[in-house]
Amino acid sequence: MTSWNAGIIRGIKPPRGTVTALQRGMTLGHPHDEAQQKRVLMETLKLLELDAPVDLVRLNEK
Amino acid sequence: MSKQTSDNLESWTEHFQKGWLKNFVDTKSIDWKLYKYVRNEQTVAGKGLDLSKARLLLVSSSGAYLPPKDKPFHAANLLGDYTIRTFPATTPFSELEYAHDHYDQTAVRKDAQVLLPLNHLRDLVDQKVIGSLSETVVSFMGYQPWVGRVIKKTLPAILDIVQREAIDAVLLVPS
Repeated sequence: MTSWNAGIIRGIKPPRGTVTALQRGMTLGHPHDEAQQKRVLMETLKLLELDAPVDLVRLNEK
Repeated sequence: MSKQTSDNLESWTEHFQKGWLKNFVDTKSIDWKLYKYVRNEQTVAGKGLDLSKARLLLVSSSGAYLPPKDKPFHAANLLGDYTIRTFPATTPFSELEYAHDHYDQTAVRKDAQVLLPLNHLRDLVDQKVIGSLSETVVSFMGYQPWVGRVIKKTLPAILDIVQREAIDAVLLVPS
């Protein structure tokens, strides 16, 4: 999963996840910013190739 | 579900019922100071997979639904809505509606891929980065304060689809 809400996600402890500084309602990126959306998506999906649990990965996306 | 998780759910439910829920029943208003967010003690373990061979299911808490096939979620219900909706992954974004009162829908109505990255995922399938995309997208309305109902109603409905469509991995995109 990916989320902008680090606090709640840390409590849930998903097996794999990324955290951004994006805003509620635009979890993958800003509207029409396909490059950002794809970066967040790929960074999140590639965690599926790792054995879980994986530490949350913080992405520099806002 | 592990014993530890079950024990946590029991204590969480007791706290919820005696605090947040009782206040809601008594006053018909919400007091988030009485709400305790979930703090799991364990996480799920599992082997990594070869993404290029995996069948992926997108699960979204955006409140998206496909009218007139489906009715909207009960977005105004302060106790939450624990049902799911499904729609084909090939659904044009213009045919989707959103029923969720707890986030600003401006972005998703401009560009659905901020929450429903279906075009990007199809591109990744074409590029053989992902094996395949499930035929179905799962959506729920992510305002669900009653955790026990999520576990008893929402999650089993999603797991049915995971099994029926032989899903290898789930991507959850909260709103």
